[in-house]
Amino acid sequence: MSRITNAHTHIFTGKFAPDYFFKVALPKALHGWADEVKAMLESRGMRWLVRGISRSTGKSNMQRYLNFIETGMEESQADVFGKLRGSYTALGSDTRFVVLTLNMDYMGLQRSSHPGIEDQLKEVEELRRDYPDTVFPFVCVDPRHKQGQALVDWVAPMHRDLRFFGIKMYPALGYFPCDPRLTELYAWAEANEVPIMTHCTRVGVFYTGRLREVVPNDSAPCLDTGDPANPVDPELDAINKRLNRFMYNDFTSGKGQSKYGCNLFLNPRNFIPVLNRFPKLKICFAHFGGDDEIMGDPKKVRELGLDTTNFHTEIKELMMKYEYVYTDISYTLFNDKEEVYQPIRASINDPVMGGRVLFGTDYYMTLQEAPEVQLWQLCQTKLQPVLFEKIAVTNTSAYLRSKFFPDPAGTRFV
Amino acid sequence: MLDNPYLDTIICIVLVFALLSILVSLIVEWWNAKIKQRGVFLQMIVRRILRDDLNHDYGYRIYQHPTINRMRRDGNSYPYYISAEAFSTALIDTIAEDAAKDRYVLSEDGKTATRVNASMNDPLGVRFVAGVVSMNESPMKRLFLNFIDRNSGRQEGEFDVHGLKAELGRWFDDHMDRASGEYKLKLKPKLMGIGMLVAIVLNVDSIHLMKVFMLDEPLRNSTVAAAEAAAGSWSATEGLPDTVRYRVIMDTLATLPDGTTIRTGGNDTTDLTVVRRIVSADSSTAGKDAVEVLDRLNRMQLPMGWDRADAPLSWFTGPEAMAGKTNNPTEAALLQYFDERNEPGLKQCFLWIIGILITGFSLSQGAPFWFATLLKLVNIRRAGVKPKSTTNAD
Repeated sequence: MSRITNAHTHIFTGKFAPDYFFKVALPKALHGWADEVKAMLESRGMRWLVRGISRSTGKSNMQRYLNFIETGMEESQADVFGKLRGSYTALGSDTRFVVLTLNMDYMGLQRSSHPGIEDQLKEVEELRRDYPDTVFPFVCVDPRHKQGQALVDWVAPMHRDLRFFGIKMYPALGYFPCDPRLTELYAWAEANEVPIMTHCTRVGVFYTGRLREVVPNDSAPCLDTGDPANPVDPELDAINKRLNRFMYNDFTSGKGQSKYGCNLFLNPRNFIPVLNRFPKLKICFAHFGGDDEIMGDPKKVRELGLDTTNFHTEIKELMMKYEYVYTDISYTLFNDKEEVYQPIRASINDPVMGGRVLFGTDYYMTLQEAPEVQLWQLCQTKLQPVLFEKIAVTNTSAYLRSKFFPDPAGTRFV
Repeated sequence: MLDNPYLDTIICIVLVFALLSILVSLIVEWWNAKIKQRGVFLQMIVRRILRDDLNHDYGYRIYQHPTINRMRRDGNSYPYYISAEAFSTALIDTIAEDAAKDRYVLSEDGKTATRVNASMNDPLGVRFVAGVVSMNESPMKRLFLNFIDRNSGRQEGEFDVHGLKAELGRWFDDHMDRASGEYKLKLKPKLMGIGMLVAIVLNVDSIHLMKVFMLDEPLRNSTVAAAEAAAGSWSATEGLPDTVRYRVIMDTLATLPDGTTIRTGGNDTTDLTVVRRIVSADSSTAGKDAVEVLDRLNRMQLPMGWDRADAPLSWFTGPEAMAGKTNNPTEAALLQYFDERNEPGLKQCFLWIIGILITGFSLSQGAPFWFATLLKLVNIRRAGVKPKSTTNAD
């Protein structure tokens, strides 16, 4: 088999999360003791205790969660990457990794002293110096950080110098993908065939502030169609209806409901105005909507009547309609049920969208489910070599191909 | 020599507060070491002075520099101390590195991408200037440009890296001077919390202490002798670090005879055995020092610690009357007081709570404060210290 590419991994550490990121996970009464609680969790004694409890009670989920926390608390991104790479080299694989950075600087709009996205990128660049032929980073953008032409001016040299190979978006952190401040970036990415990766499940990190702070009006900020005669995209009406349902309940107010903000911002249909204007934009909707969406599990968010769409179905529809829309099976691959793998196999075999399903694992988020080696092997077993090679070699190379990086499969970095 | 039982009582109380404050300081330092707070605080200060929202977090990045990163014991701790030299070296290197960005150039056939980093060949000073120039406009950039201006020669390209290093070092030291004051302020709530904890765990009731010192002359005298020795050591070690001064005081007190008390009744007046056993389980220096302080307090026969025969435990276990067991009037007055206090009652309970609160608050003032106060009081007792002779025999 040719050299495979894992198109979806993370190596950012907890240091790049805002100070309040840990506090929001604690009850209010403990906020003043956040440092102490964090130190306690970081202590070897506590880890030993949790391991002991999980062994004696046979609760492996505690052990897995501890592995996840430990990886997130690693000293540097190089340490996290070392663990990731080790999982593959141990089995003799020289896999390449798309490393997705994450900008969490605006997830709560509160003041925080954590090192920002620039420092995260700097560390990843240094890592790339050590593994130029293995690490393929994507730069995470956020319209509140840089916007318009300034954003393009920031991103373009990184790609021109082959330091970064694509763009990562995470709308659940508090912005709409159809935000007009991203128009220039989309135009540049489409013109240069630069790939974009966006998070697309109903779970994950999310915006923790008030909805009004990021959406001051009752209408979602949306780029125009590019047609002066008819500038408003028809999908905007549906986006606004969804927004108003959330706005009415203020489901991002941090009253234990803010997690629903994920659903508002990253609904795949929010990309429709973008794809209508830039139909050749190469976008990958990660996780194929999530394993529960594939199985059609009822979600609380649907029960609440906030959002009735099925992300998996929506992604497939977009893939059928727009020929540059991709998806990956990261995280979703952990669920070994046939109800999950059967639709995945069908999609890979589909003549229209089969070339746009990618292999990725979502390391190290998946450590909550299983070790990396186990997931990788599960996926190979479930898909068989032909389909696995298609998504891990052929499709990923096509996805990574851009005007700056025309031959992802053949180029060697020295 | 001023021989006043009230003054002596105050001196005794102040000595107890001073010794217990050493214990509080040791516990706070031990706890801070456990949660690595000193290192975390230093890191916070370094990151604050280099904070620049419009550019990189240079504070974070200099901690990744090998000069500072190698000082860390493990991934979760930060160095407690960074020299001005290490700081300026790491900062100059970090900013200079920004001028040297890697890029890859594709070969014509697109099969090979070669890494290029031309600016790495430039001298450090040139790269530092280029790094500053490449920064986004910000107050930090203007500050660095001023540093560059002050260390540039008349000829173009002439730049004194050593001068820049020294100036950055001085700038860092100025901040560190202010930071030590801020650190003490940050410790205040912790000192108060630990002070209260020590007061409760050792059952140190200030009002009770005061009454016992008033009534128990032998105990008062032996404690005043210890206080004079401690004050002498404090005065003699002026200018030395506090930890050294505490050590000298403990060594001096170790040479004194144990305290004496007229109280009898079959119970130790001070019972810190359990606490001592817990503290001695910690093998760190702070643990050993804490045991020594507890031992000293134990040997002074002070009325503290938990005992079934004494309040507040006696309120639940049933007090035992002791006043009638002696004919000595002085001893009888003391035992009478104990009998009254050991009887359960609202007034006793209220006084005990107030006594504990006074102790807890007092211990949060820190040992240096109490030793300085002790020295002043001892000087008053001695009716002034003789001025030091500044001339020879003539």
